[in-house]
Amino acid sequence: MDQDSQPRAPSETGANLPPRPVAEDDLVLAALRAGSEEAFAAFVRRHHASLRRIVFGYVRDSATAEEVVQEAWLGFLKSLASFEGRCALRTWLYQIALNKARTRFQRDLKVLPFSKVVSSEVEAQEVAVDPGRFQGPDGPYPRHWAAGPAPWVKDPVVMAEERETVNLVREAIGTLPPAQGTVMRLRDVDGLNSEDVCNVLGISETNQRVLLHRARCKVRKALADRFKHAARES
Amino acid sequence: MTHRDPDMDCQDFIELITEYLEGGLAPDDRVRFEEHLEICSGCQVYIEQIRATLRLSGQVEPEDVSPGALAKLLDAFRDWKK
Ligand SMILES: [Zn+2]
Repeated sequence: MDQDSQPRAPSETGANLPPRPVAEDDLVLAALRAGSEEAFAAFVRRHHASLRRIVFGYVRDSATAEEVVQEAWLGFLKSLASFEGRCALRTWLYQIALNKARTRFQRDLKVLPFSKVVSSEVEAQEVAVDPGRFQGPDGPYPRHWAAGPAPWVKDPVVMAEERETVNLVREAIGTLPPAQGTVMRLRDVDGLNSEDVCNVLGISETNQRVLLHRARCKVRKALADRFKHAARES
Repeated sequence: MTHRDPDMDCQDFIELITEYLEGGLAPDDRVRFEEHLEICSGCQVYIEQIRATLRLSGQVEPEDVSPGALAKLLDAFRDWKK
């Protein structure tokens, strides 16, 4: 497995925050300024599809999204000399792309603004786990598990090495509602931290957390449906 | 053993997991969260599965860029270098 592009693995212990991609991006920045085509190609490969997906959330048309992302890369190159490193390089890139998408959006008002998508997903009444899985008011321990979640048949470390499992996660992220999918992709796949995501998407910390929570719980559920011990229910 | 109000229940625990992992819980909520985690095997399984989900998401590869798009951008990069 390619270990060069690594700091995408999220943190595993309790309450610490995921790593900032800054250190990795500093190396990229130095290489770009030194004119390395390899570094630029790698950076494009790493972020192009995510940018396109995020921009698609605004413009709702794949050809337009591709066009906007191409423009964003050109804008990114143009502004590289003046980049001061106040945020991670990738955050800078995403901000440029989002600004271009918003401009495009204002030109074409048929599409629903992202803020509306965010608020409709956040305001929807939704719980991570079916309430039927918990004891009712008459049970011995109301609101505690009636039957807890089934353990998975495989060790997660082994699962992470299997293409099939990773593909399942990618597909599950792909079927999330748009704002949830965008937040989870930026945070857990692309490795932006919460502050960056709030800045890039122009959403509050609280909304970001609600969207991320719903997204992660849905993806967990997709994995649980596939990997739960057959002996017990999910 | 009783589960009176000050104790966290499983439904609240589940909804606070992301806030906990983000380091956003107030200190006393954090204590109640961790106390619940200590004694509840169902929630232990659930939070481990959320952590596994994050680990797996970090393995998702970026999708391919079309060769045409990449070639155009590399041209732009060469121009920029000059
Ligand atoms: Zn519990």
